[in-house]
Amino acid sequence: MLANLLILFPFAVAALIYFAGGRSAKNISLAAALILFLINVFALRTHSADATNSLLKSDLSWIQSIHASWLVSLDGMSLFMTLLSTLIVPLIFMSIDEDRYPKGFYPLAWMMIGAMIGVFTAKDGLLFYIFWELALIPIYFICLLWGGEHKAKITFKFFVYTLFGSLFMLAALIYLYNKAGSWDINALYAAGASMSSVEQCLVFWGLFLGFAVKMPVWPFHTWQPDTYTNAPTQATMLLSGIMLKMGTYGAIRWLVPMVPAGLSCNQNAVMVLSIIGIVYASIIALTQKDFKRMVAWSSIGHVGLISAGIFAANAIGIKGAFLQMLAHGINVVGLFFIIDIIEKRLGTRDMTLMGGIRSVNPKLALLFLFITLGSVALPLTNSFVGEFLLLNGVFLYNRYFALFAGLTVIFGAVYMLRAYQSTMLGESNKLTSAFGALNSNEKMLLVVISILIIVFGLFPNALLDLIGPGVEDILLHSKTIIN
Amino acid sequence: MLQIYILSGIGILAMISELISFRKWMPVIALFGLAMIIGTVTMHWGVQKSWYNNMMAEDRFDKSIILISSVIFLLWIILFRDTLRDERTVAEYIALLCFSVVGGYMMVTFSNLVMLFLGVEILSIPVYVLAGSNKKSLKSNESAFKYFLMGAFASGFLLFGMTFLYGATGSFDILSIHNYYGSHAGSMPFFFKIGLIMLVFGLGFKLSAVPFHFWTPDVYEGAPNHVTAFMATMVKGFAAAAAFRLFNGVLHDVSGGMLTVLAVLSGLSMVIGNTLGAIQDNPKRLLAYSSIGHAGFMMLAIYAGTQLGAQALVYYIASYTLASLLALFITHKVLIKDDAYWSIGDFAGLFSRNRLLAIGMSIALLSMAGIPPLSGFFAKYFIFNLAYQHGRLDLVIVAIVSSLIGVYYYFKFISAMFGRHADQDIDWHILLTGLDKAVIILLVAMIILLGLMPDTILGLLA
Repeated sequence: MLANLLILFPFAVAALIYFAGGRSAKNISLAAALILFLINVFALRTHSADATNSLLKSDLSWIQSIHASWLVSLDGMSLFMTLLSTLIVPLIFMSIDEDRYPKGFYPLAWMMIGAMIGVFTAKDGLLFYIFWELALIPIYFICLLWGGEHKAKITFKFFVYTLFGSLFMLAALIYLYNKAGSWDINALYAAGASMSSVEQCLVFWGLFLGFAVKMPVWPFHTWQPDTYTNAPTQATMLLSGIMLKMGTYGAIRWLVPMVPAGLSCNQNAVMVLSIIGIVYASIIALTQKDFKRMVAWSSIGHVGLISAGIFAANAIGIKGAFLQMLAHGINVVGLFFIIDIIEKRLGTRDMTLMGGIRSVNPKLALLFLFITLGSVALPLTNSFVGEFLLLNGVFLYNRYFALFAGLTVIFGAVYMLRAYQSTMLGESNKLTSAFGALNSNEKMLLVVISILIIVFGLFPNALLDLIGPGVEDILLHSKTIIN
Repeated sequence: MLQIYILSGIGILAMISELISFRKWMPVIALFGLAMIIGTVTMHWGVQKSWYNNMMAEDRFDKSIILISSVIFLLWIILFRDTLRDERTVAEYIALLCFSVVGGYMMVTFSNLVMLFLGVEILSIPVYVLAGSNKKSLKSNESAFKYFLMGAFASGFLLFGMTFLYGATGSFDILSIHNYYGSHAGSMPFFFKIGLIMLVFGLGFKLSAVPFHFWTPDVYEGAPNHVTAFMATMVKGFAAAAAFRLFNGVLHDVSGGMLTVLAVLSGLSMVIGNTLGAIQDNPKRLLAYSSIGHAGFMMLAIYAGTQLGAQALVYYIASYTLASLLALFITHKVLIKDDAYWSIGDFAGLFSRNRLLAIGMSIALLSMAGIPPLSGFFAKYFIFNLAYQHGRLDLVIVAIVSSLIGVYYYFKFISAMFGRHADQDIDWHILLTGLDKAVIILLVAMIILLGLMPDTILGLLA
């Protein structure tokens, strides 16, 4: 019931705004986003009281002829992901200026949110896939309608690329379904484990392609920097804050436990890809002048580390991946918001033209500092815990891999601090000396983000407890090699 | 059977209406007749009966196809009623259309090869005329001429194939052929298989499967828009259903090589249809190539046969014809200049010109591209699943890759409609009546609902 509510509520809001929104679309969205968050908090409380509460699960028959059902549930891992989404959604709506988008933007955004929550809660393979694709359509239209220059070409590449990955994922899922005779996730796990190792390897790559393109893992990342740079700010936030996590969550829930033998024979390969991605993307991020593009590249580096932690397939790595997903979601939304604030005032994102904003607007500089420190994983900030656990997980798998993966910490510090330095510090110039003050909306949002960065840095334990049992279960499945 | 009587009656009435002038009422009468057909089909759903010494037999498969095609034909008449306004031609149009659909009904109810041939001819000959119905246009004439010549050629193949089958088995009856083959499998003359291949050729032409597709782009482009819509939906559906009925009855016991022919044609149609579609700029030609690609998917269901194949095919036909009708109607509304050079650029900025048309077109194209949760996704899903169950991983890969190429050209439209600005010198407003809007919304709703509840169609055959 609660799961259904979480999925269907956004679609209802989309319909409401489409038919009645008008000028107050932003305020309705913000209010609805807060309600959605409260529903999620309520679900969290229900779950912590009794994890098997029937309110958290829904199993309705759907397409009987192919044994697909509407099977959604809020277990610990799903709740973690919906918490992440419902926490970030209000932030995203808060960051919108009045009159920035025409009314049409909001229903599309809400459809996407509903579909993403569907992805995070579905326990039926076909349902999962349908939500997976459904999330792509609205964001495609958002980018196409309100993107920057060359939007048609860039969004097109984005769409075709991700669809390319998803179709292979679909092929792999259908293969599993034909072995299992049911779309239920547990039946699929059982079928996956019972296949021959060659089949498992093939299915592994099919699923991996779907998730790897979405994250994106090197070398499937080429759609990402253009899309992130070109999309309107809020679309970039949706893409990097939540949609990216569909890929990482998908890998944890639908890939690692699905084909144990497939995982063990490809583990080294995908770890290497992830780690190449970390180093490669971080180095490219170092050379960027465009602030937004730099953050886009840094995101590839961060997600490379998450992916490496996931495919290390140990408890520490996967737990770290979860924490880092949340941390990255919050930080990246904060960063893109800072970029938006700067771009609105200066009309450019070129960091070499900036400098000295601190002397004009010290409040922004202070709040930006929080987010910067969060991104570079300073102890006591949110990404520190995640990054530490991730590196620990990779280390347990292979210490040399951890050595290279650890470069992300150094590179991350370099490019983030340099970005901070070149925008905020130094003498203000002609362009930046007229930098306008923050309005109350911007101030509030940045303060909220800064508080979240500290809170999740100080108290990660409750979150770790939430995902603990789920992660154990995943690992159990990932080690059941039958033949 | 009753449906054939009703529709033939309307066709004859349409010809009589030329004498006593009530021809302007003919579209309404046709709509009424189609409503009756839909009613009678659903009322007699469970009836399984054969007619005329087992020349035709009813079962759920053909009833499903008749139901779907009647709904599509009904919507077609409503959407394209403007083209039926001209009092001088309306009666002819209705007569030709009704007879053509009667032929289609015969093609899906046949149980004797003679009836199949009659059905194919009754279906085709009116369409040859319809394709040339814009008689002052050179392209329309070319289209009719080409379609007729190639069609006659294909009919020849079909007839030749049937004679070979008759020579080998001594019967035109599908069941007898099947039984004869069952008892004499070892001693069949070599021309039995040649006959079968010729039947594949003949029906492959009607279905516009590669390599019998060469007429398709020219005919689709040249024929008047409403006739193109009729061909892409009705003719296509009937041809696929007839091919399924034939091969599921005869071919499936025939060992080895024969099925491979179907598999190869299916793969070729998917790849060539979609690849050539990707380089088109004329919307009608593009949709023609897309229809070749879809023929490839339908061939895969024909290749698979059995109950599952029947379900997959009926669902595919329903989904494809709905989307195709919507897309071609919107194309008809957008391409206003007659016979000029059409391009996807004509769709530029459609979203700001007319939202409903842009959204409707996007839904139709997304469905054809196979994006969930629209019906086109499940259509493709069932086909993928069939290919898996027959162990044809190669065809699954081909289907996936060609779907992706398909996405490329469908999204050319969407990019143009949403991402580009319209030319300033075009007529900015596209006039839609309330009825047009209602039918577009109905079609969109059907595409979405079929996708959310695929069991409704699959249940027709259960």
